[in-house]
Amino acid sequence: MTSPRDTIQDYFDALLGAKPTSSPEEKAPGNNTKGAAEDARVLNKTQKLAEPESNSLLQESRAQTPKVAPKSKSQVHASASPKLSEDAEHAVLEAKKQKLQQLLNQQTIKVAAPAQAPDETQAKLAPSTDDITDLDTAVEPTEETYDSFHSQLGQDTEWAKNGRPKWAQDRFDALLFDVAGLTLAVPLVALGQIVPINKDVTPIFGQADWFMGLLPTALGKLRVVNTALFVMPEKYSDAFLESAAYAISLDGVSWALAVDKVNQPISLDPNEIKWRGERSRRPWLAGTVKSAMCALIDIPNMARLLSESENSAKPSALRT
Amino acid sequence: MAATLSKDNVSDDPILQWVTFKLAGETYGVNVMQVQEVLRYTEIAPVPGAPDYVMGIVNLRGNVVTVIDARFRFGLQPGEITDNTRIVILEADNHVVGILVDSVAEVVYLRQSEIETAPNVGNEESARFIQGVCHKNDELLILIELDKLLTDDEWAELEHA
Repeated sequence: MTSPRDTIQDYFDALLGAKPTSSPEEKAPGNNTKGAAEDARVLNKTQKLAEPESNSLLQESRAQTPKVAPKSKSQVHASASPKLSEDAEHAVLEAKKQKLQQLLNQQTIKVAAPAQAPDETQAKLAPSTDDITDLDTAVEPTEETYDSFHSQLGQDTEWAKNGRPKWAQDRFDALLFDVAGLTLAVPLVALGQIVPINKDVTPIFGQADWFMGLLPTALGKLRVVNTALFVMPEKYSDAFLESAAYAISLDGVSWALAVDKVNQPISLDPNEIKWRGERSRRPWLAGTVKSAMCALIDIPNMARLLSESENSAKPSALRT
Repeated sequence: MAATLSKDNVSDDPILQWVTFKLAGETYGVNVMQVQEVLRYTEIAPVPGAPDYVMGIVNLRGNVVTVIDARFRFGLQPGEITDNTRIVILEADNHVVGILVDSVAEVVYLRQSEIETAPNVGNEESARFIQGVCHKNDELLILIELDKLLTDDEWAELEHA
């Protein structure tokens, strides 16, 4: 008799549609525990680094993320030692992780801070070292930062010769979330903010069916993707429109994924992921994680596809 | 000097008035300069052979005005006629036409700079009706480009219907 686990695995295999390029060795259960323990250790350590306000969202951390502002990053390199800049990046990542942990612990995610808040929160979140204050310039997701992101996307969307995305060459943290009964994983570093949806999403007529609507936030209007329809059109039910509770924005672009539930982040070893071999169809799907029984989304490629979908004559090509 | 600068700022960022109305729970806006009047719902005489988005015609003080079903035109689900239903008489592309809406809300003032470009994902024809979006009074306004409500061919078709 087929177990539910096998059924889900079959579904993932069907999604992948090709043999993995790396060995799909099952990871021992203990490894996951180890990853969780590392998370706990890192999170505890993070609490000592920054003291952000608990009612703010990930965008505060995002505002400092060097990834969205390569220009600022270069300024950091110009004025600080490489070791210091690495520490700064690490601190930002840790701060982002801590914010996420707070959100998950609070159950209720509050609405993003007012538009004028970033300046104040920047000051609170900024690392104490004077050499990296240039990071404060990257608050708003301006056109310039989007352009920088897109130029960076050119590298992030490419896969290495070992059959893995460039962002997954080493162990990385991923956030798990539920969408219409399916668990999806996204690399934590590629996330922006988490915003409760409530009833604030305004649908716009004349758009692609997977476009859920616009969601106003303190950092601008997010273009919310109906993730269930985007990922599993063959199993889609309109019930998702009622159950979707959060929008998870993609770092550097104004797009966000609607999800039902946000789960705990996990640490993933690239070796435990069944990477896709053939990616001409569903290029946003990176692979599957057997230990977590979830699909891993290639966020840089998904962000690229969504950005390119605007004014595209064939938006449906996104799903093929 | 200061007065000149202030005047320049105003001309660079003019304030526009928009009449807002509701359709399927969302708020839409049309330029007040193109709105001639707002009528309570009245009997609309169907026109045989007219396009499917045309509900029919009404007699407006001796003039025949074609009424368009805004929900149908925008690709929204059909709605019911209620006490709040209104016919907004508009001048679009040098033609006078009425659109049936769920209700008329208010007139809002928007600076040009407040209007943002609407997303355009898809190849639906109706997407061209959207001029932009604006966040006002804790809700998102979808601003309609009335001059694109009908194409030249469609106007001609209405004239001969």
